[in-house]
Amino acid sequence: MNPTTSRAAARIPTTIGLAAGIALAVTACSSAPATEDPTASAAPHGYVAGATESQEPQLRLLSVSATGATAVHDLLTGDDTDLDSVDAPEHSATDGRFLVTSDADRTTIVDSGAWTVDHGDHTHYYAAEPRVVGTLDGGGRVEVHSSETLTTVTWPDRSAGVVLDRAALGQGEVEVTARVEAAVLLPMGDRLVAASDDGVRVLDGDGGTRGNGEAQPCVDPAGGIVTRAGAVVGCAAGAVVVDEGGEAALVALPDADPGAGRPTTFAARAGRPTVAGLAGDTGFWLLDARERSWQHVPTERPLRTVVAVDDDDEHVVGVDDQGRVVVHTLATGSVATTAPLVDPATTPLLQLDAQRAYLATPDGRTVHEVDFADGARVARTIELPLAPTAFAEVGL
Amino acid sequence: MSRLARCIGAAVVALVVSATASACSTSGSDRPLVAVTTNILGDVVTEVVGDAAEVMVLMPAGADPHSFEVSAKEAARLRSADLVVENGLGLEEGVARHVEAAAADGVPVFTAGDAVDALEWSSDDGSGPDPHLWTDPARMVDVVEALDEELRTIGVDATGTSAYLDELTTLDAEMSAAFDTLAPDDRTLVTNHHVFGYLADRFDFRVVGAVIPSGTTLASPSAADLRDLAEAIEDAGVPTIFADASQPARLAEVLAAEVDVRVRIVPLATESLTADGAASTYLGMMRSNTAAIVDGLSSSS
Repeated sequence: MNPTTSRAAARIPTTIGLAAGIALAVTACSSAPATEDPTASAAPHGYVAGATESQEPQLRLLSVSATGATAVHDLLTGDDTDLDSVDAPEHSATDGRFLVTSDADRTTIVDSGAWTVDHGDHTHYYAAEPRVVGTLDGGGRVEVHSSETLTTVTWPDRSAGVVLDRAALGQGEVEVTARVEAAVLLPMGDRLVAASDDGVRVLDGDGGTRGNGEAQPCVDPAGGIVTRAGAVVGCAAGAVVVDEGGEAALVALPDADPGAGRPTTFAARAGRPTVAGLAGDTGFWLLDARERSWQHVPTERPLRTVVAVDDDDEHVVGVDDQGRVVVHTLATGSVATTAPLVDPATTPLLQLDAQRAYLATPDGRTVHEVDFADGARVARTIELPLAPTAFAEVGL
Repeated sequence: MSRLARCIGAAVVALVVSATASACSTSGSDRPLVAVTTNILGDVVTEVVGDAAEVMVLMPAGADPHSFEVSAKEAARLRSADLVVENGLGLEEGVARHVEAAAADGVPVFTAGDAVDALEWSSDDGSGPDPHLWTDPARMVDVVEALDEELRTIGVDATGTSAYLDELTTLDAEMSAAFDTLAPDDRTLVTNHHVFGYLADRFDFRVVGAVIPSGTTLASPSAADLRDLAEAIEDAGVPTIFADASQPARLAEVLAAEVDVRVRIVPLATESLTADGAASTYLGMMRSNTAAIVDGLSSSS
């Protein structure tokens, strides 16, 4: 279980409607009934009581042990904070703020209390108290994705998904606003992208059909990620990319090594349009959701997990079958590798931000901080208060 | 809609949300009420109206205009105001729905952004109007002139308009004179502040966006971590960068040690007035920023 980070640019950067809307409202005042706003006293959208804004990302490592012990490590101060215990996790996923863990029966949501809001021309960084928010009935393999207003939790093996009010979640309330039968369910602004055997559809935030409800065919949907260039759903033939206008198109996988197969999970630095997925034992796939193109990159050893940084140097960070961190710098073609850092028999837990990657495994408390831009240098080793079965870098 | 009807509507909201506020009686004054969203505009409006109206500023000192929030009581009073003054251009995201609610109740709304020639920001991923118009004092003259007209429309005879316009004109002249002491090539702001587009437009500055390495990077930095920032500084040839950084001393130290770049790191006041000090008024904030920029970029510094 390797949480993949996936979150859209929080706001589609078109703010011009606001002033226009107010001007209209002023002229309409005599006929329009005053709309009462019952949330006027509640903590507002995107805001948590007690949250403070910071000058830089409030990067933290949120970890859950095999028994469900939960702790947050602050990467800036080095402080550890214990949270309430959760069910012993069998699966997990993160959206860069929330960590969801599940066993066979139940799913738990933990708020790391650290997040970033991207407003296009500038970015806000917030920090609040971390806490266990609550649970959802039903377990199994789980995924979580967020836009600024919506969070979706999906159990792909049961083709079940729920939509949560993200503002309420940030205030400690699990408010299910819709249930959708889908193998992949992604928020895109205030709308949803849902994939089932019938294909990929764009839905309203409440799960209702949008427009003519026409589906883009997608055989055997598996894996999804939200990027600032659109939502990505993995299909047998490649990936369906849905842009901000709701237009869906299949980006077909090119012919490659027959062993490459199709990626069934996608991972990238939060919001970035180029995402990575494993290509069987042959290496990895990169999908550029903006350019609508695939690239197959062979690797020396099979990779166990892979994440695209999508920075100027086009770094891609993976962990191979010998427990080494492998950094591909596609802009130059160079490859850098660490010594074996983790037991190859364990599941590598890899997370990253714009500057650093963090590698942990369930068999120990040590986290390796890797500077991927500096020849895969191990910059620091960090001792967590517990050995993580679920592991998320948050504040992203 | 009559003032009375608005008061009733506001009182209903107050009852619904908390039952603590009686919106029509909290002002304690017979003067008209002007509600202002941001504290920068709040200071300007207070100076302009003089004692002709009561001014309620929603955004606390030191808060973020994008994300500050208002209490139920303030929201209710907003809907009973005689005029709402907002920045607009997408700045006040957190409070926009309260302004819309007031507008729907029939409260006139003055949008500063509508009074100026607005700039656009753009990046790889999008574009939009730049709301940070106050960094140009000449555009603030446009705002005050339009505001004075709006106040007259609602029957408020602002007593401070002409004196404050004089202040703004003086400020504009002072800033021009101060920046004229800088050679044209020295007028480059390497900054992680995103608010100086209008200042640059008015006074012929170049703004170079800088990404400040995070605290996790500074714990064990490499030249690679600092390369982009160092290149921006060296290309611009500036002795000072203007940045909010959580560890400015550490950043300056590693820039010198890892990439041999020696630079001062100076923060500027940007989006909010402070409770005390130089940036507690709009005019003071602009003067202190001007002094910091001139001091930081002078060849002799």
